[in-house]
Amino acid sequence: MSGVAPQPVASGAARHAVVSAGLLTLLCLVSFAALFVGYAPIGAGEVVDGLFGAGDPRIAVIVQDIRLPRILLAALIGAANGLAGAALQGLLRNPLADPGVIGVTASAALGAVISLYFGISAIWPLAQPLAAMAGATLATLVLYVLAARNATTLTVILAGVAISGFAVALTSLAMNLSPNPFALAEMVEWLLGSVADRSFADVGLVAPFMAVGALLLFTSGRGLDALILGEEAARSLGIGLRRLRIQIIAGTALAVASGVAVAGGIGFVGLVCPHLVRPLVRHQPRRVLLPSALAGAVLLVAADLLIRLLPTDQDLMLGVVTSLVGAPFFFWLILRTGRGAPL
Amino acid sequence: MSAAVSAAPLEAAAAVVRLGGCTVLDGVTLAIRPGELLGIVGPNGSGKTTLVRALAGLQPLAGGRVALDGTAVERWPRHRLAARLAYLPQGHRVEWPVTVRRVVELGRIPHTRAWRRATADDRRAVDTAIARTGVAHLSGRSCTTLSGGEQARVMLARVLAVEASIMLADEPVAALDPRHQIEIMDILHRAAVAGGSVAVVMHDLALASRYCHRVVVLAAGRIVADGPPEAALTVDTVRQAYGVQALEVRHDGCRFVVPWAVDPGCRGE
Repeated sequence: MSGVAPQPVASGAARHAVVSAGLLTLLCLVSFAALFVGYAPIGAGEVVDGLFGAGDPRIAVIVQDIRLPRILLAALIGAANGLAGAALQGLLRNPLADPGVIGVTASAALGAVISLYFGISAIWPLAQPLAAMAGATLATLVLYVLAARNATTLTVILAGVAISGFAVALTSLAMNLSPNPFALAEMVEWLLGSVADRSFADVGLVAPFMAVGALLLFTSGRGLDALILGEEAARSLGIGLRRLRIQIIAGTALAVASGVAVAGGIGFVGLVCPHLVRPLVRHQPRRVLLPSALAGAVLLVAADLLIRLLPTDQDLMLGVVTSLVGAPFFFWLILRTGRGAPL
Repeated sequence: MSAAVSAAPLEAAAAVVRLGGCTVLDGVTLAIRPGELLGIVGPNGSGKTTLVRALAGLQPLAGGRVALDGTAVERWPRHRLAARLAYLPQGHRVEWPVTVRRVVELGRIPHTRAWRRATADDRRAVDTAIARTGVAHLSGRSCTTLSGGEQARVMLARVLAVEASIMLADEPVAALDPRHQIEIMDILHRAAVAGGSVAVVMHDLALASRYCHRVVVLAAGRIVADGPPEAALTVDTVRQAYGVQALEVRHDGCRFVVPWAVDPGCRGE
């Protein structure tokens, strides 16, 4: 009787390890490949030399200060979004949830646009990321108050949609009232989302926020597993739902908004990644977290690599590419969910 | 006093619950005793679910108290309460297509600390729960592909895996065919006979008479009868609680009531 089933069951942890190791290897490969692609024509040997500071100092600057931070930033932002998407989908038990849904992305973008509108970011470069995080924090506070009042999951989703809508409206207002075409162009370009021409200063700015956010999200796994049984049963298993909601909302705000702050609006990564890895780890929410983060990093580094390889006259923006791929996926997901197929 | 505490670890005393301005529980006093299968019956909206939620510490009270081992449930540390008291909510919803064994393993959450691997004890508890509910052949299956009867047994296995001394189940046999109802009641009955304190919300009065050691009849948030089935489930209490005329049936030394017709003297609600 027991001889039939244990085999696939026992492999849950093993699957998680294999999938994570595989994705990590893939991330290393894609990132390494991305080092060799750029506008300056540099030979492979020179890139390797430059990476370790040997050879031509100009090439070392290109590799270390232009290509490396770009790759790192893409990986960090991808991972943060993939992780936050997995945690949010687990918390809200909704396959369509992602950081955009709870209004964090749009609010962060609003903050950044405001700093551009008043031209503060031209005087003080830190103003833009800080304003973005302030925007996200404001949205998070509204959600926090709701979550603390023990609102239902549906309330959190609907509040997120409302916050998102309001932030987009205010962003449009800022663009509408924009004092000059240059400021408008700057806002639009920033909203499109890109990791090009970023520096290690940008990486250093986002890394601490992402680290704290990731810690909050990774430690939510037990609660997410308990939520497989619904909120009542999870509570009866000793899970503090209010704390779990606050933990995940705050973690998402920290991890995702810091990315939006330096790279603009790069959407849909958090939506897509959990779905890509979920069948590989047999759908257990806790085991989706790490693979989803790694998949996010791989996807974004690969997408950014693709942009540099495409022979377009005008550079494609990273956020445009992720949306072009992500939006149809979102639509397909709705259709599939509507047919009652397993998630 | 200490003898009374050990006899009834979980007690509600004059518990009052108000939801949206309505008094849903109106001074309920009830003890859940070890070795006893307690059936909680009553018409829809009489407060059965609210009562078990209050007993499980999930429902804040407007008055009175619910205590486990003499300490109010809301003052218990959450995970310690969860290890003592297992609760099976109504419905058998599973949100993701995870395997049956994974779902049963969730019952071990109160016993494992974060980041700790499952112990041999956890595995034994899960194996035992799976064996007791007869779902071993399903353990590798996805929970979303199960029939209603299979799902009910898997959910029961999850609750058994907690190995709590107190079990509260809200309509575990709702929407099941007679065979599955009997199977589930057998499992709950065995858990009680083995020394557990088991309370079950149910609608089937014959099943309650046959399996429960004690039955509580709720109506409009109050207990209208409390005792062994032959005393609590009579033609009179059924008329009083449900507004229904019942037949009395005897079989094999047991007496059952079977609801038969709406009582003309009573108007529902």
